[in-house]
Amino acid sequence: METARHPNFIKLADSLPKAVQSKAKETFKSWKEDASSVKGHIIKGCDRSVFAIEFKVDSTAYRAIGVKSKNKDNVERCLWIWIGSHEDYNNYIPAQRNRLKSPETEFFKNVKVEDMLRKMDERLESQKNNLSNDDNRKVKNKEKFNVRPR
Amino acid sequence: MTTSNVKANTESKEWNAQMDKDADVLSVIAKEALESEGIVYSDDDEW
Repeated sequence: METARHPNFIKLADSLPKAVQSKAKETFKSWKEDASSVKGHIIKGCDRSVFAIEFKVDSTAYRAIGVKSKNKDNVERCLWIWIGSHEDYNNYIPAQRNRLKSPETEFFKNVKVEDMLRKMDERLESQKNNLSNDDNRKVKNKEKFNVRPR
Repeated sequence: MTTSNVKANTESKEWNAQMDKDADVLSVIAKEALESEGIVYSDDDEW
């Protein structure tokens, strides 16, 4: 399966202790060879295929969260989006909840870039039309009042 | 099963339940991540 690591994941993974990084690499390798060999959890209620794999270092549990999608050839692939301990997770989720509650995020969450670009194009087109209407009016006014340019 | 194994299993189940409860946030985070630019998938990707 093709996989990728999101930049946030890379940043988080790099900040983990070396022993944890090394165990994470080992767990990832095992998962790639045989996903069922690694303790995992498919997150229920997600509108996408989001799941976590777990590993332990000195009795502390760590998880990595991945999201599966399909490429243009309909082949499954996985993007790793988060990694950390349970304590890290307990800090991460409330911070994300707060971020997602902000008005800017609410706005952008519901807007698709294509829709936004289309609306901008429409607005530009309408401004162009208004301008040309304005020019036409000026010409007509000149004709009407027989105003000659100086 | 040893006491520490039982404890670990309980903690793991609790974390699972917590993640299921956070499905709304995780869905949005996943959507944002998938829409990020410059993500390159590979067969050779390594952690």
